[in-house]
Amino acid sequence: MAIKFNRSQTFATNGTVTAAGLHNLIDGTDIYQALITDQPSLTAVAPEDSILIADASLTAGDAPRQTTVSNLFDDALTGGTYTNLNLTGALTFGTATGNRTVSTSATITTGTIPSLTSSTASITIGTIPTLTAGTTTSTAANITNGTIQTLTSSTATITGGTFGGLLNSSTGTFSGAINSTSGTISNFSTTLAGDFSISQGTGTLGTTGVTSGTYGTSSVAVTLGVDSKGRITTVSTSEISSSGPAFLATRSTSDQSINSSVYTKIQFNNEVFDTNSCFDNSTNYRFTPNKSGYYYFFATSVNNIGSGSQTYTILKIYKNGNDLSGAESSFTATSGGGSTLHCFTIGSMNGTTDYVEAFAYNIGTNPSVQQRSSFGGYFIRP
Amino acid sequence: MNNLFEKIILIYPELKNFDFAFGPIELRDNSDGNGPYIHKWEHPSLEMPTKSQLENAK
Repeated sequence: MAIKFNRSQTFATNGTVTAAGLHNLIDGTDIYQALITDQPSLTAVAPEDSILIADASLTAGDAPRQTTVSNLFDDALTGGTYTNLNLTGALTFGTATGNRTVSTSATITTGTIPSLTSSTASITIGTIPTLTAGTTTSTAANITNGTIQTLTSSTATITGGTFGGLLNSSTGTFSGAINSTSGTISNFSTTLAGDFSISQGTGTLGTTGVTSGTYGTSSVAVTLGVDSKGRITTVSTSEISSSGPAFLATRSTSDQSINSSVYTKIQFNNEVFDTNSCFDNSTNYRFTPNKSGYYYFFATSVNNIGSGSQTYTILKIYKNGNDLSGAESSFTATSGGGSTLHCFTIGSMNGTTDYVEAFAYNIGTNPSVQQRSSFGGYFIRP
Repeated sequence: MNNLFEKIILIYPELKNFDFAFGPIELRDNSDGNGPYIHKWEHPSLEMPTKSQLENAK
């Protein structure tokens, strides 16, 4: 048995035991390690086990204090700083809450960081081989594999690989391929260094402009408005002039007798053609186009006299009963003779009620308008 | 039977043919079976003949 105490007072056999000697024996005795090492071993320490501890806030003459193992580590680890704490096992006891500053210069060479949630942590250099989850805000890190869910850096450069998330950069340079079948690029604004091509499918360059659809027909011309970026912004249509009404009418089979010095409507009763059925060749002998616009009109009157003489002839085209154009001749003819007048003009028609007619005037004896006379017109433009 | 032009000449012999061509008077016939009629009468001194004057002008 090892000595557990180093007594400071020794009494001789048959010697004298004094009060001072007894006091000295007790007050001056030192404790040897054997006091502990000779005790039975405790292989499993429980948090509620007790130990003696010298309270630093007390004096040397005070009694030691009892505390539990749990209190020892809980209070000591909370209040102290341990610069060389070397943990080889897993930190699995209890529940860790709050912030834990482990190290500001540690190098993690192996293992797994399940979740790095710090809002201020910086990974300034190195390689993350596989980032399977979480968030990194590094401006210099190289991510060589895995998936980036959201890339929010304003200066990051992606030089290759496949990107399936949200690319949200205002200044970044992207040199790879955008390969997504379901993604949406909400604001793609860049200066292209090369050609922009769409090898398949269609591309929409803007959300404003013309309405999709078919413009123009065989009779309608299309006018496109293009802005400085080459986008088609407006589409308007105008009808092709050849699509409007046209007619040509003549006298048929017989001459038309007219009264001298009376403007007489020429009865053009034979239609050579009348594309839109706008010429009345049986009642009013007038052309009432059903399409508004400008028209070219012409008329020819072959004037003849049956007997006597003719001194003056006039041919007029009336619009709604008023002069639109006229031609006159003071050619004097005798019996069997005559003259021919040509009259032509351009008029605006409203396409509903406006009409034109041809009138002949003749100062002579038994004048007539011969069947070779004609009256025609056609649409020029709206 | 005189026509409308001839009746007016009978009433106003001073009128000439050209007064009816580009002058103040214009006669028209719309070829609708109603015959000639006075379309315009803007003569500065002569009144337009009345229906009675025209019927009696022979």
